[in-house]
Amino acid sequence: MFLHIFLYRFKCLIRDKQVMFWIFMFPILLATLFKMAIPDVGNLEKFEPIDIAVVSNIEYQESDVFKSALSSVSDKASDSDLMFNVKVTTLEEANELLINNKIKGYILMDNGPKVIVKESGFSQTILKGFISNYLQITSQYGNILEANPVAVQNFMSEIADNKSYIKEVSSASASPNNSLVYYYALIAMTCLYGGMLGTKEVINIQANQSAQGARVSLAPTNKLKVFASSILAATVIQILIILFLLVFLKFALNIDFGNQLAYVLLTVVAGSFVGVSFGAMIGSVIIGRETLKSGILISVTMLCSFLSGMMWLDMKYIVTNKFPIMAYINPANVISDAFYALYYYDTYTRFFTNIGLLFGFSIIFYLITYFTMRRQKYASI
Amino acid sequence: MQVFKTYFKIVKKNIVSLSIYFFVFLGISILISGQIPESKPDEAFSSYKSPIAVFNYDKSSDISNDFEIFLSKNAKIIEIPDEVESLQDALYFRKVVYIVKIPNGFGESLKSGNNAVISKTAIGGSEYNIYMDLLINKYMNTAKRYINNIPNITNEQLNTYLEKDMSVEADVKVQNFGSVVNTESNIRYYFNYFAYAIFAIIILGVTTIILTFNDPEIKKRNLGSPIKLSSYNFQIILGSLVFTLIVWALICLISFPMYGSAALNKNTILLFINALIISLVVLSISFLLGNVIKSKGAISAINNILTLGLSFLSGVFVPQEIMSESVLKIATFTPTYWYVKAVDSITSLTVWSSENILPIVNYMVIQIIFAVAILAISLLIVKQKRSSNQI
Repeated sequence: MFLHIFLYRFKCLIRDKQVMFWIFMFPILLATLFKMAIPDVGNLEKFEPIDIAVVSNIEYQESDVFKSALSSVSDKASDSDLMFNVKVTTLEEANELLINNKIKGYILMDNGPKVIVKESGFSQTILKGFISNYLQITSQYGNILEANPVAVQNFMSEIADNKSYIKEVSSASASPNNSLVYYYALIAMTCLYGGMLGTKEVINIQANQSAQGARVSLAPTNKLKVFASSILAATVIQILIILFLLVFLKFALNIDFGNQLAYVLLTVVAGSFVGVSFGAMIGSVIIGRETLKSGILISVTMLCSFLSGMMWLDMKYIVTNKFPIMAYINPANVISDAFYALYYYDTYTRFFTNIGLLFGFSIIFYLITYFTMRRQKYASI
Repeated sequence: MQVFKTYFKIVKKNIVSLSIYFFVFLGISILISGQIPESKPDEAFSSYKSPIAVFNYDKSSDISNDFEIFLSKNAKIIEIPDEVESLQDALYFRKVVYIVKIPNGFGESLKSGNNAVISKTAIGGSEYNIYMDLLINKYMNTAKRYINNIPNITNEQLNTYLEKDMSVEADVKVQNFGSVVNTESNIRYYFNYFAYAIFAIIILGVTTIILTFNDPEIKKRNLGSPIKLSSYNFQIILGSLVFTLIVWALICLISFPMYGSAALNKNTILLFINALIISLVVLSISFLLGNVIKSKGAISAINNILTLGLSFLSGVFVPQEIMSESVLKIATFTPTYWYVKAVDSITSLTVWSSENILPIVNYMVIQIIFAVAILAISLLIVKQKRSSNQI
């Protein structure tokens, strides 16, 4: 009996084209679009040499010190320190380039180097920093010449020999690639979309909601047993769908989930349980037509996904820090946070807290479903 | 005008689902506007300050304390607790891009010539990382050169020298060329998102209505009524056009209260025209869909695929300048790509010369060609359906 219902519910759900589109095709489509549009963070923040110009007037041509300082950071031969792509131009050409956004700014020698830019910004700040550095060394030269003239020779040799005083300590074994948040939130959304399956199962078992429910209620079978078997079918489908999504993300789109395969699978199972149970709860608590139920399900899912950073990355951080309770009770956030913790943290406390929360949610959702559905009797339908 | 009236009766019935997209669009626009500070044309140059976290465990040393003050002048210090997870989170979500830890005894080792190092945690290879490295090494090298070259220099002397040197800054002039419209302005994002909103609303609206009119039973009844087929078709087209214009006008008008002075600009007229053109493109797409799609259940699926697909592909959500070349190449086959390109050019337009305006007009013409081509295809389909006696 159990197996029979399971098998037939499985077939019914798989053949429901509309539901399958939303929980199977739509996330894959969205993930592909994410991949196309969201650039790799590594490339986005990578330092690129800044396009600048220098005005070739008499003062520039005579200032060999400045020329060599500029070429030390713009010489293509030693590309390790390449900071600027320099064009040597006339004043008019430099202005022209600046108007048309071809350069970020230019250097004009007019009683010492001056910087001309169109707006404030990061590249402009680096340009300013370079010129400031040049002037500061000049200032230091004056100070040392005044305080200890013998040391000037040594000072000059030290300028060429800059040392690094910085030691890099990495924060975690994984790189802080924040575009992953989008994909993790997307998986969370798919998990919650699985609620559509849960809602369907609830409708199909309640006599006042569907003809099939009326028929099932007449059968001399324990309702809990029927429900358990059909909800299991829904959960198995959901787990398979999420697994397929993960395989797609990992191998087609190259999204990183860390290396703990077993833990990733555990998250998939927990996420699927939460999704289906969430839908079952919505289906049983909300009284109305199926469109109303799925409408509510989709809007709640979208809100949860938004709060977990699917549309806008910073949202997740804001919620976690400003409204920590919201972060803990939002199932979408807990699912995406489990993947995040697995990928980024070296410890497992946060991951297991999330998994615990997820199973806790499913139990609560199922209890609510159980208590609303049990012992319902209908005088007339 | 019965058909025209019926058209808007159907609109009224679907007003809830249509307005959802409208309010989602408004919500996103307001949210984004809150995030990007509306920058005015710069009068004076202001240096960019990276958000960083500093932990000074060498409070007893003047050298380290002075260094901390130097950092606070050149970067934006963000207070976060020194715990592994909160530091990791802050770095991941770019609340800080660089974390500096000054170890105990750093000042002394710098002076005595021992191996003095500051530990940093940053996002590898990023531009902020390189800039902060430069800034810190500059300070340290300057300090070290004083220590090496002025024997028995006291901490106060060192600090006075360093403060004096570091206060020497390059003279930066901000040149304004006519009226500067900031490229990062919110109105650019507003009109880019416009493409998403108008696609979602018009496709959903027009397709649903055409499908209602195309219902075989209803169509048979309507064909039997004493009204010319050409008039009947004309009224449907007129209804769709009016509906599109209303949505277009509504979104355009809202830009005034939302952006105030930024919207009162010559460029805004161009933005409106551009928006009108893309609206007509969407209208022709909706005609095509309305005559191809058979079931109402498919509308929302196809609407989502098309709207999100075009938006992501062509830079409606993510600025085109950070998208990859290959994706943008594919995107040139979409009308939205040219729409976004036009919006980007218009919002960064400072000088109204033919040299600058001509490319914008070109982008608009390309969109119109898209509209005409798609309309031609849908008319062909309608004709074929009629000649094959399908209703």
